[in-house]
Amino acid sequence: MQVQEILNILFEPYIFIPLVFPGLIAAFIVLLIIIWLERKIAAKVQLRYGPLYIIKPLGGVIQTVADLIRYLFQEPIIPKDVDKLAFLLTPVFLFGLAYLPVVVIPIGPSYYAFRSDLSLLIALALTTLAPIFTVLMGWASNNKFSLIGSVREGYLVISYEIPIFLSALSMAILYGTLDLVEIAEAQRGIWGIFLNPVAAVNMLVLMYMSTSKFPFEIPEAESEIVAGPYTEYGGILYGLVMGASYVKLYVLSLVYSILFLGGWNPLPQSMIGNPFISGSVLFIKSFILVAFGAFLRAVYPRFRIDQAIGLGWRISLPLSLISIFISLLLVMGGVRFVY
Amino acid sequence: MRIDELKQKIEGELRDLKAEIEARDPNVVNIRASRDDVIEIARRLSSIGFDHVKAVTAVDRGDIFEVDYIISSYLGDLSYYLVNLKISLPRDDPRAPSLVEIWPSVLYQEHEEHEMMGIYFEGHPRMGRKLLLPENYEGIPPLRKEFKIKTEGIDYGG
Amino acid sequence: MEAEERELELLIGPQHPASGHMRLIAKIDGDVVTELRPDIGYVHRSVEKIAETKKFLQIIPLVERPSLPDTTANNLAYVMALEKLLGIEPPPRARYLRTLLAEITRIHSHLYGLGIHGVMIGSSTAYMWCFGDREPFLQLAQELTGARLTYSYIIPGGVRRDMPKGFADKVEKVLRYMEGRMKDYFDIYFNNPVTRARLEGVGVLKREDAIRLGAVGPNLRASNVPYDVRKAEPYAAYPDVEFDVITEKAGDSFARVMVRVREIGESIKIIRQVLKRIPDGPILHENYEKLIPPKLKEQYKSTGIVKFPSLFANLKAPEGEAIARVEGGRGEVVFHIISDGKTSPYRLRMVTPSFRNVVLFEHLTKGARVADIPAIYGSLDYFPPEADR
Repeated sequence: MQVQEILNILFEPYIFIPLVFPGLIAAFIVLLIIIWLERKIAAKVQLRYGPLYIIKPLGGVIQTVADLIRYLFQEPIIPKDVDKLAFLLTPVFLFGLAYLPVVVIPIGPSYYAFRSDLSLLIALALTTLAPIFTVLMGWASNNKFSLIGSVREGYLVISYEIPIFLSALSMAILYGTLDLVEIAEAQRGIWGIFLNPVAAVNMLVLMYMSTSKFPFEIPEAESEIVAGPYTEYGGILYGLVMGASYVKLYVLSLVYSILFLGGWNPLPQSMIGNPFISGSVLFIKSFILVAFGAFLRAVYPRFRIDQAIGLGWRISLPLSLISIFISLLLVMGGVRFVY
Repeated sequence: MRIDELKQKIEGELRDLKAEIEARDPNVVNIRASRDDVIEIARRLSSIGFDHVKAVTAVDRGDIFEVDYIISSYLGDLSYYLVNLKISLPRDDPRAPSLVEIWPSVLYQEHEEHEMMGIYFEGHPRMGRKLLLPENYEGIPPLRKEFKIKTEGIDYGG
Repeated sequence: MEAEERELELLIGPQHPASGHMRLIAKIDGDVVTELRPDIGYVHRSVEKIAETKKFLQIIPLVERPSLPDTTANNLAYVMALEKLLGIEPPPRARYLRTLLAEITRIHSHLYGLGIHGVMIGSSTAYMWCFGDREPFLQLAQELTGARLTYSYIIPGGVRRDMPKGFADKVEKVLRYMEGRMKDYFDIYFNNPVTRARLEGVGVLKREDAIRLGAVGPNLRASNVPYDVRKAEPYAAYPDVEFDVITEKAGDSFARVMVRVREIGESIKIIRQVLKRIPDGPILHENYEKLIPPKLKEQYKSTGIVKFPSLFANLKAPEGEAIARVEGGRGEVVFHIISDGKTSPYRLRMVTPSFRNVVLFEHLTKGARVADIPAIYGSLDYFPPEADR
């Protein structure tokens, strides 16, 4: 009756996906786990323990929850000369907009919140909203280091936006559709990464560039510009901005898994209708991508801004054009997909 | 070359200038000169092959200030030897010509001795600015003997 | 109407994750540095003035402390100058032990510099590994001298402690461990394409400028100047051991890093030779040994730990002056002591390698990018307290 009705409403796709999985709650849990995982992986590479305490047998997983609680109770210090409205609102918008594209992500062939012929375009376009707020944060902070950091972010955005769009769209050309559900279904036989590996590799690197993962951790380069646009932030505002880049990576890896790694495929026919199984397969694939991005912290130093921009324009842009060319060749060569 | 050969070479080079040259085993050659000749001496030493200054020591000898330049070479046989070029300055007029044009390696050392001992090096680009001391420090240059170190909190007299 | 201000003045001040205890005042046009002025003196502790009021033996810890990670160089240079004034030479075994400690110190000082450089260009792995690999060397030093970092091991006339039993085997184990680790370092950090892109061609110091500006240490040798005090004026046991002076031609930040890495290899070679050839004998000069009271002397002979004669409390150096120089991990340390026959020096002049390298900050960063400032800073292995003294 009452409880059954509530559960029915909860499991409606247009509530479940944005709110629970892979939406807000799942993003939150991924955030907590991935921060712990990043520190643990880096520690294992660097001959140390990493987070260890608070329920020792669990290996310090609860550490991030403890950090979050501490952030919630910490006094956020607002410097005197900042632009108060912009200073306080940009982290909220940043975090909120970072996971907005999750609305169009399907987790099963018949379980989606919002289906449209253009859902790939919608997802990509929504990811471009967040960096605007990073630039605004640097301006609002009234701090020279933040200014430099936000200018770097602006330059980087221009360098990676075009190649990422072209690489994603080259897969759309190949599948002949912009609908994420159809793209995932088209890979029942063979994954996109084998059809167009150039686009896959290109988009992987650009995905890490767009979310400030090493070696592209440039807007927040600690040893050069303190914390870039995030310098003046403390308390829960800092927690929000730090989490926003992980959430953006999570969302982008969901899109990447659908484009290149087959989404929820390969699934046996009997389980096709079950959204939990298909959703879990999709989730595991994107989690592996996020974890790989976290692992890069332990391996690479960071690039200089001109080297990263050079990489974007001189290597990624030609590669994305080549990937479009490869898709065109495959389509003209007779590769067709049945839906 | 042995140290007496070096001493003779330097004596030959500085023959017409008033300089007392003394060799101390095993590798130090002391040159005592007046501040008027020091730039010419420095130029000639530089032409022999002494290419940098290791240390500039200013000493407060009471009635005079003494500035010691410890000069050597990075290359060849001369790298074993140290030339100690000593200049005496009267206490009431502690000005000396700066050797920064000939040996740029003295830049920071002369600056430090200027602010610590109060010696003015003419021609040095940074006279007057503080290097190690706080910017608002005013008072006796600290390395002079008249500056007594104050000890804090040791007086037990109530 | 004022002209458009393009230049930004950035104070990379003392409160900055990668500035150390100093301030770099940078004028930046876009991403390019037009002028960088180092503002040093934040940790000046007036060692030279205090030394005029302390006794000669009390000055040993005083001059060691500014140059943390490389304390042995200051200790050794000061005691060598003091011994020149006193006119004594340490016994051969003491000279070898001094060399042993100096080389162990050189290795962990280079690892410190490499680690800090790594974290400045963003590689926390290099930082953690370098600092983790310092541990075995610090523990070796603790076994030999009793302290991890500030040893005060070298005293006028010799050294303070003899090698404990089994020490040579422990040293060999640590050296083999370090040699094995070198391959990992090259795989993950030195041959990493991002590291090379950040460091190659950055902050090039030409040979003439290095000589003219008076640079010292690996910074000088990376610009193809083969100057090393251990070869120019050999001291301690260096006349008896064979090693190469490492130079590189490029003069950029990567060359400076490579000189340090290869010098670690040379130090390992020297330590092995020292352990093989070390002669038996006393570790303190006989003039001082015979002043130790008999009961304490028995204790000293049985444990190998020197008991100071009471003369050390009021050691007077004859009138005169002495200059001594030592090649520390960062470069050449010069001590100039002027004595007037009392128990404290009349004037103590201490010139540390970081102080002689400060001028490179101004010179190398002209025209570099903002992100090159930490890359150049770390490659110079500059330690602010050592420069400020």
